[in-house]
Amino acid sequence: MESVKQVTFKKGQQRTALDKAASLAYLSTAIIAASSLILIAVFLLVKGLAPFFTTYNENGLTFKVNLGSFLFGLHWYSLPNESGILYLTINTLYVSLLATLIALPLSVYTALFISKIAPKICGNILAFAIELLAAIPSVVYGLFGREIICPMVDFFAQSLGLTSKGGLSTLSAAMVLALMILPILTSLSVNAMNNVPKSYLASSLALGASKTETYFKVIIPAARNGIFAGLILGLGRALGEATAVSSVIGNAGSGPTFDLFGTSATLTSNMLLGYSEAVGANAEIRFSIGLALILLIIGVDLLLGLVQKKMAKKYGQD
Amino acid sequence: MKKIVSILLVAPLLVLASCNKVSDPTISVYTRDTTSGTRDGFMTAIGYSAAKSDNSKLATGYIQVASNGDMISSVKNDANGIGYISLSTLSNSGVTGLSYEGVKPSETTVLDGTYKMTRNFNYIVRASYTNDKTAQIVAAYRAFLSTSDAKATMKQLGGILSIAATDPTWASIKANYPVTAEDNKAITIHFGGSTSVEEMAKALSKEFSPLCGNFVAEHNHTGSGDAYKRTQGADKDSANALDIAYASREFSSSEPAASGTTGKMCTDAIVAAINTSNTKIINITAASLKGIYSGTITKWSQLSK
Repeated sequence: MESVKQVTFKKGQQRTALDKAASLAYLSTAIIAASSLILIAVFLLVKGLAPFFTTYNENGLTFKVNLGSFLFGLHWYSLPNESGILYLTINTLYVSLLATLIALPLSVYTALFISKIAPKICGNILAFAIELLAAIPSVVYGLFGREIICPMVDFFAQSLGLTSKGGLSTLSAAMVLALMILPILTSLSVNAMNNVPKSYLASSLALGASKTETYFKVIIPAARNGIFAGLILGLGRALGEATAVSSVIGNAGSGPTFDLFGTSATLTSNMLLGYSEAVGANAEIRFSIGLALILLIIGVDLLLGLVQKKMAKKYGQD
Repeated sequence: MKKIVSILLVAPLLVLASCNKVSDPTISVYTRDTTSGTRDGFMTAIGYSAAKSDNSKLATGYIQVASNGDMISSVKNDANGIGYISLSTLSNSGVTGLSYEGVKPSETTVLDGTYKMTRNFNYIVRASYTNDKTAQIVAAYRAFLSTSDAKATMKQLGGILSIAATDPTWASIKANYPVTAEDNKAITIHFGGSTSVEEMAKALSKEFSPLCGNFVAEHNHTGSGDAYKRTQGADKDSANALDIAYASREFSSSEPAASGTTGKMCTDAIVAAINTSNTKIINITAASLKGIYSGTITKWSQLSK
């Protein structure tokens, strides 16, 4: 027999003191984490609203930015009142939606393959490769989009007898974004499909359904909630992505653009454009765009949450 | 839900189908954004100052790019693109530089004054210094900029200037600046301003610091717009204050620098650039460029070769 280790506990009082100190430490880290959110919110609110209340004195002009023309303008020309974000907002939603539409079938079928069809090792390797996609920095996606996707889109446009501006277009941006949300959407779908009870598959097959019927009528519907969660996260990423988008979208000055081969601009690409050189009102108005973007993302998330609830009601929770 | 998805899927296709076939291609107009010093120089040179910081004056469908490199790669990818870049980046760029008003862009034609699309790299210093030694180092640096040593460095980094035989060498004038013989390791000089001048500015600091008691050169380049602001303007006493700042454009009327605090370093030329596959034109005039950027000229056929 091995010798039994002697374990000594600290005395009761000492222990409670230690516990108290530790919980204080946890509390303070929690406060720091939570307050950084409040700090960012306050910072954005103050900075974002400032241009509408500050009087600027630039290039011989004295002006305040007009909130109405900022919110409802269809071009980004020049301050004070010829710069609006309505077209940017519409473009942002349109590009992000296109991206999720491209990514959704790709991700769900990939997930189906990894989770149900591929041999275990093959599936693991694929899953790992797709997760690696998520680790690629957005600037690399931007470069890839610029050098590979844009020429492809340009070629595609030409073969349809159309012209594009070297591929800088809505479609290129949507494709790059689709690549970027692919990993998150796929991983969540794989998880959801792995969690579908084995008995579902067995019962369906036992009832005489073919494998394909089972995948599409049993597995995917059962994994619906997980896929939808991936969709929400992916859409959030697409709405907020700046670097990659601005390298391939062409930064159009007015819009909205619905033409797939036309140049466009999003809220984020507009914030980034010329930021390093911007001064005065031109620099500060970017915080207002940031504020608008955050509100848009919150709005879209709430809306999707509602849709999810409705869906759950209709089809029942899993 | 299914309905919504199918509508969303079909909508882009309909938009696609509604596009017209284009046989005589339209010129794609590329521009830097409104904060760019290059754009300022270009628009001023072609006589279209109204479009310097106002996008509404530009042709419909223009595309904004973020930097000189972005401009090059955009025009390189677009057979119908036209843009403008810095001459120092033309040689390895893979785009075609157009002659301007019949004059080929080159160092020679810029120096003899026949190539007109140019801008200056300028610097500005503070009107007053709290530390006397800092003031002396800045004065010595300004003198250094006019020496043949500094000019050679600027030239090497793409700046266009002529080095005259009468330009002094640093060795011949350093005696006039006794501060350079002292040990200045404890002094930090803050440089900043234009990002276009950044590379050149850093090279000059690196060269001058050992000649001037090894002062510490700290560079924080944030754009031409901050050159005046951080030396003599609103931020001159802030944490971001600068001792010497650069601008890749002239100082504007809203930047009233104190007399004797600014100077010119060298010249940079701006070149109108098109795709190499485009052989429709080799020369362009200020009037044509203005026409293209204002939208009155939209087809290559409207231009003369």
